Amino acid sequence: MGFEKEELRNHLDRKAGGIRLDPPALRDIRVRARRRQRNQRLGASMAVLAVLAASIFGVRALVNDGETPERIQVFDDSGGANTPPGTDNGNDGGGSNAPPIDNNHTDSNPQPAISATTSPRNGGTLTDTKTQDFQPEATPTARPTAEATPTARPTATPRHDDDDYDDYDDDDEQQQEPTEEVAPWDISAGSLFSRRLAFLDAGPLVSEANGAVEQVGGFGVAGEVAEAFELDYLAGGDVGHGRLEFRAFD
Amino acid sequence: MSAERPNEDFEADEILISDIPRAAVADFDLFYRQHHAGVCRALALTLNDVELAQDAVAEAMTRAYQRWNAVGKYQNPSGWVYRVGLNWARSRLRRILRKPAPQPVHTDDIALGVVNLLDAALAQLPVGQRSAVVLRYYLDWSERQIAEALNIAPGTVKSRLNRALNRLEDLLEESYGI
Repeated sequence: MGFEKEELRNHLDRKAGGIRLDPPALRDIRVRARRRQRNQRLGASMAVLAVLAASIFGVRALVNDGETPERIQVFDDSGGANTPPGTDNGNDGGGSNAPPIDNNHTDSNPQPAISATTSPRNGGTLTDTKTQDFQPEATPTARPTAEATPTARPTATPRHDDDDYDDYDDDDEQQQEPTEEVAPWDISAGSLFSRRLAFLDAGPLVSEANGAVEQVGGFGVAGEVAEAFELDYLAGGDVGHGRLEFRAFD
Repeated sequence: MSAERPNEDFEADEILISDIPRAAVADFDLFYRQHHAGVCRALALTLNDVELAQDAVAEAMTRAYQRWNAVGKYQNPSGWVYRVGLNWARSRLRRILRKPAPQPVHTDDIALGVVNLLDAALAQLPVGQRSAVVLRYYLDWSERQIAEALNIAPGTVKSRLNRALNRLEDLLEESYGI
């Protein structure tokens, strides 16, 4: 047979009676409550101040965040045509990424042309004729010197190690390149993402039959030039997951 | 100087609480004296932890004091205190990853009478059912009062009590051979 409810009641009474309590004084409860009220008011005031400060400085920080540590400085070696806005002729204010460029300067040691290939799932590789280790941390501070700034058409032709691009024709590239300055793509209203993608607009992107995309154009990369780095990295996302946008290029 | 420190703190606290309306203080004082021990013992039975129950009740009483204008108008303010204390204790238990795990009962202990069988069976109940049992059979609250205190429907209180009693009976009959 089970147990009676009365038995349960008596048991709980007995057990509770054996509990020795040490209740806090009523005054302690009052003091504790008042301290908490005071702290809550103080916390609310601080929160308001924090929100105000964040609304003021946060926006500024967001704007400055355009100076992303991963950014790659890209410019047109035909005269800085594709530099981001606000960077004309060395004016590097306003959070732009481009190095100072002298349009009239000719250099005997220009940056070589680059080519970028990417496949949709595995990410692309950007290959340059220069073979240097890519160090993302070093890239933002690497500013090209005046001597290193290419303003003339590079004499070096891109080397393509990938067999998938054997049909790449260097002569065609020379013919396709614009002879006049291309108006810079206005990314002043663009997001950080579009700013990163400015690299891709350095040259037309040509789709290949196997789904890969090749960037055609003789544009230099300022600063440290990577031996090979992923387009995923440049775009700040996964190329294979639709975060990379391609825009029509005039 | 160090001997004067408590006095300074005391005076600062007096200033802190000096602007509290006298009527509210008297009302809360009466409630505290009448219900603190009962709620604290009920929580201790529910949680199987006296220290935790005392901390929980102190915390709940503090909150009740802060909101006494509203809490004091409830039909059963001690039910509010019980629920706040129980929730506080459970969240604290979660934070410190310590559950009021039921103590393992050994048959030798049972034979020796060391462990009270009802205690062991109550410890096997979930907290929700145990709180309903404690409020019903220790504090003698009605099902409606329990429902208000735990913020659940009266039907839920009934079902919890039924399940708890059946479970206790099963545990005593089957597990311990009574």
